Amino acid sequence: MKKILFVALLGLMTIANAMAAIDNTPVSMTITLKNGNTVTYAASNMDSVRFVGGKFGDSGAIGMKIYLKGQTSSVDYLYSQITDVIEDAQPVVSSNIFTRVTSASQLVAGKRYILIYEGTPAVMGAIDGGNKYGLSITGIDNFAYDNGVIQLTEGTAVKILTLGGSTDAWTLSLDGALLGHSGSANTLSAGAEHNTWKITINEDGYNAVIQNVTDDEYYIRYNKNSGQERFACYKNTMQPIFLYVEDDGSAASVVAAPTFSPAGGTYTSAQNVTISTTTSGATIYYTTDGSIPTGHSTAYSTPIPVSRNMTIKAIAVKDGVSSAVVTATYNISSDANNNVNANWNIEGSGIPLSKGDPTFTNQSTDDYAWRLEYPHINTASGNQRVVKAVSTYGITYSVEWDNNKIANRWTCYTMCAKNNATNTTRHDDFKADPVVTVSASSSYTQSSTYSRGHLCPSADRLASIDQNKQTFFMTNMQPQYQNHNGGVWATLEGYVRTKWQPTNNTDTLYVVKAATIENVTLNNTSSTGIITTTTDGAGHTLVVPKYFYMAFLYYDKSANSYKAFALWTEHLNGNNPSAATVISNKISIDELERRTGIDFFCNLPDDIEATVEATATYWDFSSN
Amino acid sequence: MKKLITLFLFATLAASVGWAADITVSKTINEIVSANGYTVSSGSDVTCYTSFSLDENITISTTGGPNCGSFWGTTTKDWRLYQNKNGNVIVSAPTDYILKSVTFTFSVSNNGTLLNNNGGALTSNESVSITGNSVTFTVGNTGTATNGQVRITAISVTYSSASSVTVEAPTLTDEFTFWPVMNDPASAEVTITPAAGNTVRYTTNGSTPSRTNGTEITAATTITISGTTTVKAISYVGNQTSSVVSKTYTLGQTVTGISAFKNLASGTTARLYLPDANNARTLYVNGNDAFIRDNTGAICIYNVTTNPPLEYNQHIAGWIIGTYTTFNGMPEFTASSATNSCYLVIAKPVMEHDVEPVDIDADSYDSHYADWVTFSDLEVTATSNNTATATDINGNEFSIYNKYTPEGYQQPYVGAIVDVTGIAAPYNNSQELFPINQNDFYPLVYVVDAQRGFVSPSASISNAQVRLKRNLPSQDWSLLTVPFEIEGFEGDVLEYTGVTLGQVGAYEMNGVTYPIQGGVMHFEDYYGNLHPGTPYLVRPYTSQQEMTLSGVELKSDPVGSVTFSLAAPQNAPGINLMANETPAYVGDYTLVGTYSPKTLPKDESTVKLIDDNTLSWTSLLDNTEVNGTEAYITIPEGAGVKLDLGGNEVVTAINNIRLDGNSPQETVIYNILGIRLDRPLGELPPGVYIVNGKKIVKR
Repeated sequence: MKKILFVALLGLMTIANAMAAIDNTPVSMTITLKNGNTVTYAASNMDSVRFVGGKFGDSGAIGMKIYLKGQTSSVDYLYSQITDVIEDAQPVVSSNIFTRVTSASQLVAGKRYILIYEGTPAVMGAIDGGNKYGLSITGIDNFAYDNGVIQLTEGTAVKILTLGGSTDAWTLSLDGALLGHSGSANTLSAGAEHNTWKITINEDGYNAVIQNVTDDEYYIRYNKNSGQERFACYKNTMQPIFLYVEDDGSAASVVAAPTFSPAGGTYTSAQNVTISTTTSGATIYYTTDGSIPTGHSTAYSTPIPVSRNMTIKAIAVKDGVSSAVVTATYNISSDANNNVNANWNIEGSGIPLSKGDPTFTNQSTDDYAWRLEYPHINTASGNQRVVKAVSTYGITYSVEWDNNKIANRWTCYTMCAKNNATNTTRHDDFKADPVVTVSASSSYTQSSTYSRGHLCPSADRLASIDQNKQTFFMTNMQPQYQNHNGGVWATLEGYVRTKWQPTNNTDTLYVVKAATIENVTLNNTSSTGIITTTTDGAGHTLVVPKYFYMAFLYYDKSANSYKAFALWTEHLNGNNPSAATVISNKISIDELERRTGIDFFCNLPDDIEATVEATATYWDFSSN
Repeated sequence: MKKLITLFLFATLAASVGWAADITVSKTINEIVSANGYTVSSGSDVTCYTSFSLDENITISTTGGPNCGSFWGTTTKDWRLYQNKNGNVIVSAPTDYILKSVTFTFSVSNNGTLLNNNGGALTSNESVSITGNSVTFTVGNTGTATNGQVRITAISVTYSSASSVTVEAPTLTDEFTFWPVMNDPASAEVTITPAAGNTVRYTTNGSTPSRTNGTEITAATTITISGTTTVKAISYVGNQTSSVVSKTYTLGQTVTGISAFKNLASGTTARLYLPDANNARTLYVNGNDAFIRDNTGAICIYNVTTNPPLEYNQHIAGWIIGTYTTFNGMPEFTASSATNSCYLVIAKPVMEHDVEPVDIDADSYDSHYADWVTFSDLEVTATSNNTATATDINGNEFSIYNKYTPEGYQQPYVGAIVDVTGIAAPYNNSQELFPINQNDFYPLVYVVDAQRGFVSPSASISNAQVRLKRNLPSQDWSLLTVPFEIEGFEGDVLEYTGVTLGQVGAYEMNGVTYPIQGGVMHFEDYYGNLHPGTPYLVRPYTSQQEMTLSGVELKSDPVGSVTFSLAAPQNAPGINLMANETPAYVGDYTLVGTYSPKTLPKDESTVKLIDDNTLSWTSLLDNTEVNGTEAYITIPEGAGVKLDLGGNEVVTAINNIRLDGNSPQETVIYNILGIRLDRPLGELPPGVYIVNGKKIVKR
C-alpha cells in the first residue's frame, strides 16, 4: 500500500503575471549568445522587458525576461550566457528613411542622425561598447543604401544619434549620453568630457566634417583599417563620413528625386534629355562628369543635348534639402551625334577629300553637314543650312538660318592653306540671301545703332573677289553695335588671322562664329540671349543678340591631334571688354555648348570630341 | 517599487463615538445679558464680552478683534461678530465632556455669514453635529464684501459627559511580511486610518501612543517603513482614548542558495536568492513537482507555476519568495501569497552542460533529498505493486517507487542487481528513489556483475539497459559469457569450433623428446553478434572495466556451453608410451559458461584459464573459483588439452602456454601428460615430472 507523497498543500496558484509590471518601453533588442547565436526581438513584438537586477553589464544584474505579445511564456536570458545586448535607443521611426545631409540647414537640434561611410563596402554606424578603444563605433556593413537614401528595416541595430545644442556647439547623444572625446586616444565615448562639435557640411561632396570644439585636431571619421573598422575620433586622416538625417515627415525633408526623359539607355541618335522633379520649387543640379552633383553643380534649365556617351547624375534641392542622387547613363551608338556619319578623310591642307567640294556657289543644302566645322544641325521647322562656295577655293562658309527669327544661328568655315590666301581686298556687296525662305534685307533701319556685323569676316575671305563678296550675304550678318563690331569683335577677328590660324600648309582651323538668338544658360541659370529687336529695310523684325561667340578647333595634321577653345563676349553698346579680357575668359567648347545648347564640332569622333571639348586649350602662333 | 497594501475604508463613518445621557442647554442673548448684567453697547460706547458661559460646562468665546463680542439691541439683544475683525465663535467644554451639537439663532448684516470648520455656511437655527470638546465657527461673507456681521441671538448646545463615551480605535493595515525587490532596499507602506472625527497618535518606535505621545493625525495617513516595524496607534476624543492598536510588519528574510533555504524552519516564508554562479538548474518536472538543484543542494518546487514554466535543463537565477516546507521529509519550496517568478530568470541553457544525475550511496543519500541521483548496485529483494525493495552492498534498504512512471520503466525483478536513476525522495523513515527517464539517463540499469553473479529474470526483459561489470583487458584473451546479445563487440572474438587429437606438449627423456598427445580445442575467428549464454574468447581493442548497453534483451535462459567430442584414434603417433592404456584424451571437451561466480571441483577433468593465460587442472589450483560471465573447460579426466586459437596463437597446458607468447620465467613443472602443476616439486607426490624440460623421477 503506497501513499501519495505530495499532497496539494495549496490550490494551484497562477501567479506568473500577477505582478507583470512593465519595466520599460520595449525597444528592439538584439542579443548575442555565447554560443554565437543571435536573437533579435522587434519592438513591435514585445510587450515588455523586465531587467532582473539591472541591465546587461550592470553590477549585480542577473538577466532579463522578455514578454512577447501573444505569448503566455516569457523568454528569459541570463547575462552570464550573453556576450552582447544591443538595444535601439528608440524604436525605428515609421518611415525608417534616412537621407544624406547635404546642407547645414539640415542640422536641427532634436532630429536624429546616423553616421555612414560611403565606401566599399558601405558602413552604417553602430556603437560597440566592448571595443578596446573605448566607446567606438563599429559598422554594420554591406547594408543597402542607394545614393543618399537608406531605408532601415525594423530591428536594424544601427545606432541613432540625436543632435543637440546649436550651431558650432552641437552635441551628439546616444541613448541619452553625450558622445565626447578626451585625451589623445582615438576614442569617441559616451560621457567623455569634450562633447561639443562643430559640424560643417562640405557642399562639394556633402561629406560631414564633425570637429571637436575643444580638441579641435580631432574629427569623427571612419577607420577602415582591417581590424579597426569603426567610427571614432581621429586626427583628420581617416575616411570621411556622411551624416544621414531621419526623414521625420516634415515637408522640407522630402524632395522627390529627379527623373530623366528619355530614360538612360542605348540610343542610335543624339538625345535631348529632360530632367524633372515632382517637388515644386525644387532646383535640379546635374553633372556629366560622373561626380556627385551638389548645389554648386550645373543647374538644369533646358534639355541637355546628349550626343555622345554620357552619364548624368542629378539631384533636386529645395530649401537646402537634397533628394537622392539619381543617375542616368546614355549610350549613344558610335558618332550618333554626327550630322552625317561620315567616313571622311583629311588631305594635306586639312580639307576633307572624300566628299569633294561643291560645284555650286550658293545653295540651301545639308549635303555638307558632315564637315568638321559644322555644329549639330537643328532640323526644327524654319531652320535651313546654306553653303557658299567658289570653284577654286571650295566652300567659303556655311550658315544655319532661322527663317522664323530671321536670324543667323551660326556661321562656320575653315581656315587653311586652300582658302586663306590673300589675293584681293574687300568688296562690299550686302545683299539678301536668295536661297533662304525669309532673308533679312540688305539694310537695317536703325543703321546708326546696328551695323551689319559679319560672322565670317570679309577679311578672312580674300582669296578671290567672288569669295569675298559671298561674305556679304545677309545670312552671314548679325545686327551688331558698331562699338562691339568694330571694337573687341574686330580685334578678335584679327587674332584669328594673326594668332590662331595655321601657319603651315597642312593644318586646319575650324571656326564657328555666331551670336545668341535664344535663351542662354549662364552660371547654371537660364536667361535671355537677345537684347532687343530691330527691323530691316523690308520690315522684318530682327533680334539683337546679347552675346557673340567664336569656337575654334585646330587640327594639327603632323601630330594628328586637336585642340579647341571658345570665346564669349557680351554684346554691349560701349564699354566692351578688351580682347585680352575676353581671351583670358576663354571657355571650353563644352561650356559653350552648355551656354548655347548647341553641339559644336559634333562630327568629331566621340572620344576625340569628349576630350577636346572638355578644356579650353589656347594657342598663339604669333608668339612663336 | 514599494509594496502597496490595500487598505480598507469603512463605508459607515457614523457612530465612531457612542453617547450616554445628553445634556442640552439653550439660552437667548437676552437671558445671558440679563443674567450676567452685561452692558449693552450703543453708539460709540462699545463694550466687548469675549467669553461667557451657557452653563457650568459650556463656554462661548471669541478671539475676534475690536468690537467682536459686543452686545447690541433693545428688545431682542444679540452678540455681534465682525468679519473684518476676524470674528469667530468658539464653543468649548472641559475635556471630560464632549460636545454633540450646537445651534445658533442669528441674523446677518452686510452679507455676513457664519461658517463651520469645514467652511460651510450655517443657517440660523441649523443644528450642527460636533465631535470633540471644542469647535470654532468663523464669520465670512456671501458676497464680495469684507465687513459682514453675524448677530447671534440665541445659542443651544447639546453635550454629554465624556466618561460615557467609547472611542473607536483606529484601523491599521493588516500585518504583512515584505521583502526587497531585486537588489533594491526594502520598503513598504502602512496606512493608519482614524475613525471619523477622531484624532489619532501613532508610534513606530515601539512606545505606547497616548494623547500626548506619538505623531498626531486626523485623516488616513500612509507611512513608509523600511525594516521590521511595529506600528501602534490610539484614537482619542476629549480625554477619552481608544484601546491601542499594534501591528507588526515584518521584513522577510532573504536566503542565498537552496541549501540555506532548506536550513529554514519548516513553514518559514523567505525570499530565495539564486545567484547566477550557483548554477541552479531544473532537474526534472512532472505535474506539480519540479526539482531544481544549485551548487548547494536540491529542492522540490511544489505546485508553483512559473513563467516561463519549469522544464528540464533550465538555468535559473534571481529572486523568488516562497515557503519552505518539509513534507514527510521532502524539502519543498511552496508558494506563498507573495510568490511570483517575475524576478526569477528561467533561461534555456546556452553554453551550460546538460544537467546530469549525481552518483550517491547510502551515506550521501540524506544530503541529496530532492536531487536527481544514481544509486548503483542495488540488489532487489522484494517487489510489490509499484515498489521494489532493494539493498545496497552493505545491506542498507531503499525503496524504488514508481511515482512518475517514466517511459520504458518496468519494475525490476527480485534478485536483480540494478542501478537506479531518479529523484531521491525521503518518506519519513523510508529512503525512496523515484525512477525517472531523462536525457538518456535511464531509470533502471541491470547490472551483470562478474563478482556478484547474475540472477536471470523469469521472463526475458526486452529493451533493457545493462551494465556489464567485468574487467576485460586488451592484452589478454578472456572467456566471456553474457545473458544478452552483444552487437559489434569491439575486439577480437573467437568461437569454439571443434576438438582434434594433437600434441599438447612434449618432454625429453634420455635425450629424446617425446610428444604429449591430447585434445586440441580449436577456436576460430568470429565476427557475428555474441549470443546470450554462449562462451567466447574475447580480446577487446581497449581494456574494459565495464560496458553499458542499452536496448538489449536480458534473457531468462540459463547459461549455455559448447561441447565437441574427441574419439579414440586408430593410429595416433606418439601414444605408444602408454600403449596399453585407453588414451585419457578420449571424450568430450566442453566450454562451459558462467553467469555467476562458481567454485569448480578440484579434479583433473576441470580446466581453468588462469590469470597468466595458462590452462590448469583445477586439481592443481588453490583457487578454483571462476567469476560470473566467464567460462571453464571440462575434459576427459586426466587428459591434456591445449587451445588452438588459429594462426600462431596457441594456448597449451605445457609449452608456449602464455597467450601473449612469453614463456614462463620461473620453474615450471609438468606431469607426464603435459599438465602444468602449480606447486613446487617437493610438495608433489612421487612420480615422473618434467621440470623445465628435463624428466625427473621423484621417489
